[in-house]
Amino acid sequence: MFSKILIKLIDEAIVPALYLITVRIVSLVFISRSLDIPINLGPSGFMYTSQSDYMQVNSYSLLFMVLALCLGLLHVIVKSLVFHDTHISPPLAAKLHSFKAQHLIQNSFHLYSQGVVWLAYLYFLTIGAGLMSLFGLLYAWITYVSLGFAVLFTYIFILDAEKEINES
Amino acid sequence: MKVNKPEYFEIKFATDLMLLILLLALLALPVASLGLSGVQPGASPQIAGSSTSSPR
Repeated sequence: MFSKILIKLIDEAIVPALYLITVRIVSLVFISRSLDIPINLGPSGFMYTSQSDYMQVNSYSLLFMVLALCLGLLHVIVKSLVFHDTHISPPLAAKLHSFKAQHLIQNSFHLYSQGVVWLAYLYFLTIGAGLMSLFGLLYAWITYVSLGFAVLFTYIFILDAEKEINES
Repeated sequence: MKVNKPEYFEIKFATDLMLLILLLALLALPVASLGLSGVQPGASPQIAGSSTSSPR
């Protein structure tokens, strides 16, 4: 009765959401500590004593989040380019079976739903970064880096989808 | 209990809509975490330790 695609997308979205929130909290504390910036934990979160301190920590923390997202996307892209069941090379498939690692070979539905979720997170973060840099809460170059990664990963996914269409 | 066809589609549409809202909420969570940090009220707009008042 429920939409299979929506349930799969929700299923795939839980782990990256928790991962990104963890990266955000850890990076805020880590960057404040490493830059010797005083930080107070109040009812509304981590509070900084000056606007420039906040901007610096916020910018590097968002950069950490973008890099963490790129790591996850790289993992999905390697799986979709190398271990995709529609275009995995026969010797590699045989090797994986001999090592009993056939679970690494995944189908398009699984890979593309994962890819869509991770890419959506990257685009949402880029929009958030753009808005924050508009209001002077973030260095503008972080937005450009995030947008660059989003475009690059989208292009790689399109290439993989084209490969799949051509082979079917 | 037997459910007739229009009712079935109404229930399916409602559940799909709820799932879509849940998905969007999940996708918005990391962006919402950007609001975990802020500046203390009344904080200086300049670098901490520097003076913002002009000499008279």
